[in-house]
Amino acid sequence: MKITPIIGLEVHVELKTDSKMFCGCNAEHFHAKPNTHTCPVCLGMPGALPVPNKKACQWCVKLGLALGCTVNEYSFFERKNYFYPDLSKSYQITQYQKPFTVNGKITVQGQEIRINRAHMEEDTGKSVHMVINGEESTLLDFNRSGVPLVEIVSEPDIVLSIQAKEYLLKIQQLIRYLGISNADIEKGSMRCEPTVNLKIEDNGKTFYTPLSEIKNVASLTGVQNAIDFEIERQTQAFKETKEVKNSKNKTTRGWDADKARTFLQREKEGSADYRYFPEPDIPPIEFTPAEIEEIRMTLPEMSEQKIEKYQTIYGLSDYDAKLLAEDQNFAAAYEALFDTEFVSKDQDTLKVFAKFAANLFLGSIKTYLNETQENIDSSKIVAKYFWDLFNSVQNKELSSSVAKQVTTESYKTGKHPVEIAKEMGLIQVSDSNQIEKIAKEVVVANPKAVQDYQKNPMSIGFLIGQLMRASGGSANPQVAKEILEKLLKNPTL
Amino acid sequence: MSNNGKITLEELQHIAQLSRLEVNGEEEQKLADQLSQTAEYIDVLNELNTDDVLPTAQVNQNKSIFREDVINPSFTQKEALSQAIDTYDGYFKTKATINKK
Repeated sequence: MKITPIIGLEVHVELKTDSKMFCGCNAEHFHAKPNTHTCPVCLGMPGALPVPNKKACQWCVKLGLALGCTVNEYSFFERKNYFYPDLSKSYQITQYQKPFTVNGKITVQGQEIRINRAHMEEDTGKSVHMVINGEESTLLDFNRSGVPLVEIVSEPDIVLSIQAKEYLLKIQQLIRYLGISNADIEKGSMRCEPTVNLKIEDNGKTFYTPLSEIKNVASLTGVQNAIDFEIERQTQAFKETKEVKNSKNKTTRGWDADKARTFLQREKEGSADYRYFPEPDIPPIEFTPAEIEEIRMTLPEMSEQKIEKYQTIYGLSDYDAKLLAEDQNFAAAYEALFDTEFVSKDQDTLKVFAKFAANLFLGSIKTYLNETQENIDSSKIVAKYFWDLFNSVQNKELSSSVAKQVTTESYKTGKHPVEIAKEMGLIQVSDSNQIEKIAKEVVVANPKAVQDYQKNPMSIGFLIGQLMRASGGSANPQVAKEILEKLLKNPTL
Repeated sequence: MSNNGKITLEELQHIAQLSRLEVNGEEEQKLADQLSQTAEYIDVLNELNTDDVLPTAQVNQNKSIFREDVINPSFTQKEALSQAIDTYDGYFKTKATINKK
């Protein structure tokens, strides 16, 4: 029996506009007092008239373009009808036949995942389930009702739970690059609903298990675990019941993170049951080719483009390039090092510097940011400091490991890194006359070690150690080794 | 929908469920017959050739009507909850919607 999971992902992203999608209420709902950002439109009162938020529509188009989608020049909103307490109007304004954008694709770890659509809709209210006076109750807060939401629907091109996670990370990065949402899964501004079923091949016959849409997944690990659980559950269910998918047996299952399992929430309504029809209160929307181009022009340089630039122009490895481009602000701070009067005109030097600076960014600054859970503060990145530090290392005044050490210190204090190295006595002495003087003293003071060296040249380490100590750690170890070897091979010097 | 605009009892029950309407035994057949008659009028319209007619969802010629992204004053919490059947601690209150089993 061969089992292939078929996984599609629906991702909902709350846009960080100031106001809601169809009314002027404040769209910020996190930690706001319940039901204080509402009005007749988002409470679904009769006669209220929704008017689309222009910025939200433009951002949806922008996101679609970044996902490689085509923009429909003619589109309209529709009503999706169903009863649920968090849906004040008993219908959600969404897009169905003519979404803003369709048919895109993104590449995740070398594999192409097709995007069916990225469309505009509104969020629902928030439910809180609790027992009040012994009665199971649901409490409702409509601050979130009507917050602009973009739904990104993938084709079922995903076959592994880890791929689903990578896809989400990619979407999250893309949205953050665009600056249209915080895309924070834990806080609910990015939500993911995997739809899972299995293709089962057995004795030359092919079966498809019933679809399950999984809700309430509130972390990336949760997505992975929920999908893995569902694959296992459907495999067992198929062995027991042999039930296969039809147009009526799609179900919605909730993810219980504490118990690490999914549970049946409700039998899913078929799409015909939603009785979609064009929203009569909102005129259709047209985007001219010029307007679409105008939005396209606002797309920032995306991570793929940065990664390619870092590899071809700066000569960085794929690994370093990807890490640098992970966060847009981090990447921008790195790139600012090359936008200065100190930049080298020589291509080879430029590449050596690029690698040097990448090591400091990834080795020192990123480590520090991870430890402190901070975001990069670009005002603390001074291009001159990095070029001075680079020149000091090139001149062998500083070792690369010292450069890493003082970079973190410089980022924290704002002091010049070379000054920090001087204050800490970390400047290397590479002046051979000075080192030779110390080397001679060391040789005289350690006759036994000199004899050992004549028998076993590997034992030179001891003498180098003595020299380093005598110099207070400031001698350049490579220069020290060369001078000692010269002295020991020619005792007459 | 069934053929010839005929609404079956099963379909009626399904529509009633979607509309959250309670329909008792006697009413069921009567409503199914009435709805069938209504649906038959659609069959009359289906006789027309509408190949070159675009679906109409709007009768005015408006398009691309937007509002700018500006915050306007909202209701107070008290105003928002004033029409609610039941409230609790600033929330609208209703019967439990999820049954975790």
